[in-house]
Amino acid sequence: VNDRIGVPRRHVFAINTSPEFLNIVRELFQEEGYHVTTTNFAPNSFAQIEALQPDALIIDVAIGEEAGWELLEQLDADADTAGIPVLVISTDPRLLSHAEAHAARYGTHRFLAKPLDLDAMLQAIQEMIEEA
Amino acid sequence: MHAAGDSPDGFVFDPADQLRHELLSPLTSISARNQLLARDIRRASSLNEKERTRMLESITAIETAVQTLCAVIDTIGDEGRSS
Repeated sequence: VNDRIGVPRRHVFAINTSPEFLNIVRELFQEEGYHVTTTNFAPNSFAQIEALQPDALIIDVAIGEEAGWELLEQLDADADTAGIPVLVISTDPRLLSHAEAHAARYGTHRFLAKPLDLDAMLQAIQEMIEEA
Repeated sequence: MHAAGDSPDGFVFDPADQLRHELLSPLTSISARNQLLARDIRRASSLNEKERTRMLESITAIETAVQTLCAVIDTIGDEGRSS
């Protein structure tokens, strides 16, 4: 998809259980010219990502919830999705530390703690897409 | 699959962790909305400098309060883990 002539529109795909958080991500990245897809850990999230091949993912890993980890493992195990950069976010520093320790296993990822610095989130996504 | 309350690889979360998560999630929304508002205020051509400054000072005050609450919540989590 091209918004402006010759400039490819970057596609960010966000997965989170909070509709409000997804609204915020959509508003932030659309203002910056990104194409944004959001979902609430629907059973077909992986199939959607595999089909859409976004430039970057934002995945929340939450306490007591399996969906974020399972999706990370699914993405890493599939050759079609393993190369998609992922920004992992969480309210729990231990979960982020765990994710960082397994970064090699989960591929090209970065990590941010909540509450989020939106400028830092934008910068991380931009850098990951440029590095991919 | 991990057991309920465990995630991942055997992490066990206590009620203090859950409380911390429940408090930080809405604060994340408040902080993020606040930051989006600040971006709008900086871009708004209809505001004069005095109005812009006053609004951004209010935004800063809200963000400072959010960060203060986050620091308190972090302490609650630490106490829960060490007890």
